[in-house]
Amino acid sequence: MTATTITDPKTTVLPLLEGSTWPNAAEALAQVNALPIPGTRTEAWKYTRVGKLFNQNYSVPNAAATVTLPVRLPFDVTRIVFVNGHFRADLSDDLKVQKGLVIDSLSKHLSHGPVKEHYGANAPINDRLFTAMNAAAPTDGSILLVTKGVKVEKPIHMLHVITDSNALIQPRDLLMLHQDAEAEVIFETVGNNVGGSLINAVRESVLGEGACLAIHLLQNAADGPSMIGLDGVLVNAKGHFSIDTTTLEGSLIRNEVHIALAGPEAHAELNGVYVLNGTTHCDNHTYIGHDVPDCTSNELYKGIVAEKGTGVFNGKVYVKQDAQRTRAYQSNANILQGDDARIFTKPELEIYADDVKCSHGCTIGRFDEQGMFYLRSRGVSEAEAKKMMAHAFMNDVLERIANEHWREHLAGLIDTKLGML
Amino acid sequence: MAQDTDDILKEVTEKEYAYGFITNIESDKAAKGLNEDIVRFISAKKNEPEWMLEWRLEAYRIWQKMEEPHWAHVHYPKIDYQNAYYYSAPKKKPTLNSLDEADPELIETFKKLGISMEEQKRLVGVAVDVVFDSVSVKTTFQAALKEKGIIFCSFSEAVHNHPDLIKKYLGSVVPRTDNYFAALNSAVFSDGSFCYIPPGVRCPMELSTYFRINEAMTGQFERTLLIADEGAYVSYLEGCTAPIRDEHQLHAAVVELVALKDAEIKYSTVQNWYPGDKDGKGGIFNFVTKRGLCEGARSKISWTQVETGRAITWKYPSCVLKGDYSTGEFYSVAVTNNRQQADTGTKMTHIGKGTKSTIISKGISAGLSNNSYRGLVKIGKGAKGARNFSQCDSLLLGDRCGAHTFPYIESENPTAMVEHEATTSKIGEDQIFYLNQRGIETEKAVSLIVNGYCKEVLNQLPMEFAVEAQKLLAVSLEGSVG
Repeated sequence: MTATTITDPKTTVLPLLEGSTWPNAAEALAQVNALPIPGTRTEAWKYTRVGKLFNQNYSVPNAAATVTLPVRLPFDVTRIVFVNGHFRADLSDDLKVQKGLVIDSLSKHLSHGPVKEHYGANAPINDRLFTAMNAAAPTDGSILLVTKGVKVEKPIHMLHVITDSNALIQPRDLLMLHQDAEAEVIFETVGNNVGGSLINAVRESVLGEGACLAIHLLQNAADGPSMIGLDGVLVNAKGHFSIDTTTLEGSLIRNEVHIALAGPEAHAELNGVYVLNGTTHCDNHTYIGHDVPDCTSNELYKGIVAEKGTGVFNGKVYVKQDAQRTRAYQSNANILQGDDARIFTKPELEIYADDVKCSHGCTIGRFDEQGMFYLRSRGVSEAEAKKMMAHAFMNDVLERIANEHWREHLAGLIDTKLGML
Repeated sequence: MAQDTDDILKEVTEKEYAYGFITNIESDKAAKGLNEDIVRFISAKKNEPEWMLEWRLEAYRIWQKMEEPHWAHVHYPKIDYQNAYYYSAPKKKPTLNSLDEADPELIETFKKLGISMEEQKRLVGVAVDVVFDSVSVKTTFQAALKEKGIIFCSFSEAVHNHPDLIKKYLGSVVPRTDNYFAALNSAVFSDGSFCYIPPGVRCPMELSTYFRINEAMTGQFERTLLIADEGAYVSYLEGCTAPIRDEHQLHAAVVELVALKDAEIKYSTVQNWYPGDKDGKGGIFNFVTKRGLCEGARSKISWTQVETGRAITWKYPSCVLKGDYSTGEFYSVAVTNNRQQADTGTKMTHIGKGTKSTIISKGISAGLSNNSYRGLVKIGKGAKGARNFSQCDSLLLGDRCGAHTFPYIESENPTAMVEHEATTSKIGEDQIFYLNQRGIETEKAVSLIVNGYCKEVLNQLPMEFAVEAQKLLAVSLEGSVG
């Protein structure tokens, strides 16, 4: 028998997770110890290898860093700034925007009733290592509470600024919308020279009856950090949840969206765009649970993968027994550019009710040759033609984003990125 | 109309297996359980040469180190591999030259199945290699095939008469290490069919094997090896039925197909094993590894299957498209009723340039059953200009059944085109109404719709089989519940 010392590869992060006073932190830490690092034999992580994230040491940077903020978005928003995961009142806009609306640092409200009720409820720690890691020591994040019938006038821009490389930051957000409330939130991460950093985010959203929440997610930090994120969403009757995820930069990106449609006539809308080059790995992993009858969901993810990029899509629609009259559509389209680019896609349906209309489709291919020929024969250069085709390809997704200002902003960013391919 | 549908559903879900009868033929059985001695016993029973025994023993050792896979979307009680018989052969003289010599009871069995040999013989161009509880007892039309240089015989005969071919191709497509059930099969396979089509020969008739599991508590482990040499063509039919047995019966077959340059193999299966009764008691556990290798350029392998039986299915007829411009096809209709569970689909691995694959899968679930499609389309780096189209549709009949789709699509080549689409729905009330309105009663209407739904696949079957498949569909969903 050879005596081998087995060191837990998680030792690189474990010391950073100790001593947190957040609710259930100790329990979560025990889970971190108990859960293995998902490998290729773990079905949910089959195409996304996260082992290397644990091969390096991390630091936990503080909030005090001096930062230069990027220019404001070209439309009116309430901007809330987080530096290295910590809320910075001095850099943020006035929090008292509107009556019936609470925006603040989540850490200040941990003892409040609604937070106690919903914190952790839609992001269980029992089977996902990264959720447990986050829950063991959340850095901080936002609380958004919109009371009954209140419509938030301006979109809220949650801007995360990262200042260090090799930093471990674990944002934690809780969004709660009461009956018939409406809100729109943009989450964006920026930073320079932040390679090697890991942002492990968990965001929970609870939508009351008839509430409407739109989340816009933008991943465009140059010299990208790795980002592992989970959106745990609960939508009650007649609620309307939408999320659009745009991934343009990053090292290893995993966006998980887990939605429970828990009341009749709830609706979920998921849109995603990714343009990947370099060695960027982007994994969009979605789960939509149709738990009750008469819910609808619609999912569209499209991406262009170039150079040595990897695009992964894994969508699951689950229709519970007796969830009749479910309508669920799911679609994923990919364009591969470059001999080393790869696509893995796995759209799944699991259905236990009969009166349903569910479909999924996915394609992998290249730019339509006839279309290219049409443009070329009209004197358009090859590069320009490709750009036009790519723009048109992406436009299907952008068109579904309701906020036209955000849509235009994204279109600009995507075009810039396409110019780099 | 809702009442009608309910009645029909009830009628179907309570329909008992029409082919349930037991033929009492004296069997020659090995002792219960599995160990190296059993492997030796089986090998000795078949007078196998030393190299074959070694091959089996190696497979047994590999199997021992493996774990039973549990990733499929099926649930079944734990299988006790030591509580089954691994060999059973009818205690009859080994060779028969004409039907008259065959056991009359056996003939009766086939008659009940509707494939009486007399009738079969009269059907032009069908040669049957009958596998009855693992041992091939009758091979017809051999003389006609011999003339063309085609070898079509039982696996045990091939081991003796064509050891070179067996040594060269056995395990070349499905290696012993491939998976748990393939390893088990490699260790204890009792018999099966072997077929070799020489270069440039077009097999003049449809070759066919009828598998039938008869003896209680026996696992059936047959092994099929089919080789189409350069430019050859063969169409092969496989049909299976099993009588009613209370215990679950294990079936772990391996089918290997090899298509060399410009060769084409068409492999069709109609499978109607006993699915267990309406409470899920009894039935066949079917864990099958089927794989075809398109070895040479422009070769083609086509799988067509109509699956209506078995309690549990775990089966993925696959194609490895190695030769440039080779083609793989998969057409499937899978019907599950009562408590049947099926996890079936295909794997298309594109390796060569310009390879093409098509997947058409139609699932029909009724009763309390679960029907899953699981497929993989993998485009390798070198598969320039590869093309795949997949379509998997599911039809749900009843609100207590499940239909699932788990497609895996992987592409590493920018010139490849892959398309996948899937839909799940029930039969539209408007469709039934349309037919009702034209004087077609609900029962017939549903059957019409189901037949139309499966047409793409049924069209791929050879004529004699298509008729049987349609009959089976009708029986499985009798009362016209689609």
